[in-house]
Amino acid sequence: MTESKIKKQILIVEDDPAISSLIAMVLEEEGFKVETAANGREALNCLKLCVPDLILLDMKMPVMNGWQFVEEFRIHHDRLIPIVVLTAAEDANKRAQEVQADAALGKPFQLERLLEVVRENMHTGDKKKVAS
Amino acid sequence: MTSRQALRALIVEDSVDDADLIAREIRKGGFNPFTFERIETAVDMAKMLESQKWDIIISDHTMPSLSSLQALAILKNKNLDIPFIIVSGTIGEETAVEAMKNGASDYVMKNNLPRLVPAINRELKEAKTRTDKKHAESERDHLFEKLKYISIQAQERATELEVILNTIIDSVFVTNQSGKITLVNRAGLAMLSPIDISKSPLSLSDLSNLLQIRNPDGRTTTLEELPLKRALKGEDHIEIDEIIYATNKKHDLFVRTGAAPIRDQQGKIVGAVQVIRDVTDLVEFDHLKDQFIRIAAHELKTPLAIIKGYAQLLLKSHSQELSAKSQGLLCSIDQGTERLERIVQNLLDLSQLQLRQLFLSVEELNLQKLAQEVVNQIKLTAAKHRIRLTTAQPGIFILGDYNRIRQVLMTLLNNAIRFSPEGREIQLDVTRQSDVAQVSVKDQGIGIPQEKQGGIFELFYQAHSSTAHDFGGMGVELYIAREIIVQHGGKIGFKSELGKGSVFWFQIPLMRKKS
Repeated sequence: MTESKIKKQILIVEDDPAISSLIAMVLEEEGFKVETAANGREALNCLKLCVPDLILLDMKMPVMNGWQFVEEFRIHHDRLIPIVVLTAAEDANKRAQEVQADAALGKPFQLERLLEVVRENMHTGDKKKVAS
Repeated sequence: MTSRQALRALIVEDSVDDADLIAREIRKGGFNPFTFERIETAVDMAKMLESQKWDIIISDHTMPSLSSLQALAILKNKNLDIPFIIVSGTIGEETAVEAMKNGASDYVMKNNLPRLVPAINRELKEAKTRTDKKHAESERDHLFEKLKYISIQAQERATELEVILNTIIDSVFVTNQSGKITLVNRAGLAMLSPIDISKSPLSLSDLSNLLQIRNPDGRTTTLEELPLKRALKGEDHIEIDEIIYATNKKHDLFVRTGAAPIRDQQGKIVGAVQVIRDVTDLVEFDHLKDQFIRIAAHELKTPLAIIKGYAQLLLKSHSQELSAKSQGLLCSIDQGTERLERIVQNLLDLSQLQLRQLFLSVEELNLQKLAQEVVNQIKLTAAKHRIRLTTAQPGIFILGDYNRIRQVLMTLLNNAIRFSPEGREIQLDVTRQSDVAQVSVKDQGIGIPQEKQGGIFELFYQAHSSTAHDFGGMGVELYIAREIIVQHGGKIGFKSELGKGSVFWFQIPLMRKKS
């Protein structure tokens, strides 16, 4: 357990199982509760059952990609859930801006950097926009 | 008589006295020198005509062994044009006329000898006129032959050049002084086809409408900037890369083009020639290569993230379960992926630069703070070098891309570390120089040999390759660094002395203070 008594919950939306489980393991070690989804469609289904404090979102996925997911998500769900984009794109920040995400994490990433970005953008109840 | 001309006379006369009389009369004419021979037979006459040149023949009409008509026949037979004057005491009107018909020039009665010199003078003059005319005619014939030869040669050269022009793969356009297209080779016609230009000649502006020329940066070329136009204005050795939009084919051609003025012998410009080489295939292949590099490098990112992530996870969270040796092995994996990541990043940067897609996300940066961050990070891996950061002011602000400027700093510092002996100091200075921020990295390393300094920012350049200091690398980082600085509107440079060390610096315009 880290800062709070209730475990913060994170939804990982990533089609590559190796990346997904790596992130899940790292975050669980740090005391987060983790849900995983292999694409945007699965993520939307997950969101029917839980309300995460942060979404880690890969952009290029089969079935439903990151852009499509964000579009659907914005219609039906709480806009206050922060989204951190996971991307191998050359300009990670540009990707984040495209979907008005709160931050971006370029692949490959340092684990320290992953935890840093997650903690910085975690929903705290009085969320402020980070991305410009 | 005033004439001072020489005279060689052949006197055909059986009487020595008469011959002397004639000679005396001629001498009065003032010819100088005057020489003569007297003969009286056909054999002698033939011999004399062959042995030397004669200016005039003075002949008696009837002699025992030769008549003037026979003498004339001999002359005619020899095909010689020598004035022939008959001097006779007995010649009648009819005979004289017949002799004239047979080629005699004149006749003088022996009892009227004073008429002889004027007759000679007149005949000499006429003979000269005839010779001159003959000369002129033969000269003219000769010139005509020469001209015919030259014209055939010119024709052959023209045919040869036409075949050459039509065989070369590059397009050739020639214009005259007034801007009319006077020659287009086969490749040029193909570039313009299906438009047929044989019916109405093209002007330069017609040509620029058919082949719309743009600079590689996309800007449309004005008429004045056309290579042919520039050549007509006297610019020599024009060589540029351009993009041509061929209106008829509705697609872009990438071309390399050269142009030059055509001058006459006085050096006056009479036209211009342009040669256009279609390098579209090359450019497209190059593009494909860049795309391939980009896709391949991009695809490497995810597996790289997996290897790196798991290695780090093991090191971070499971180190208690690992022996010291295993931990060391894992560290090596981690460092290996670190290096691989840098290579992938360099390849991506390179392809972005080549595809002109390196975009900066510009924000307000405190260079001093950024430098401190970089130094802090680099100290973790370069514990054996002393890195000292000095800044004059606490805050030096520029507008720049955080990651890109950081990358340049990393490159310069990594190079300084790579090429310095352990324990030596590396000095990083961040200063303000009038309206620019300057960052310099000074090392006490091996330095760069003078002869290797010229190409240091060139792509794939490795100053220390195949030397004791060859630490590998692709020779792309300084090239990328320069491109980044240039895109920030800045400058990059260095000073180096072999064995003493190098100073690499860059300057970026200071951020204008908000007022």
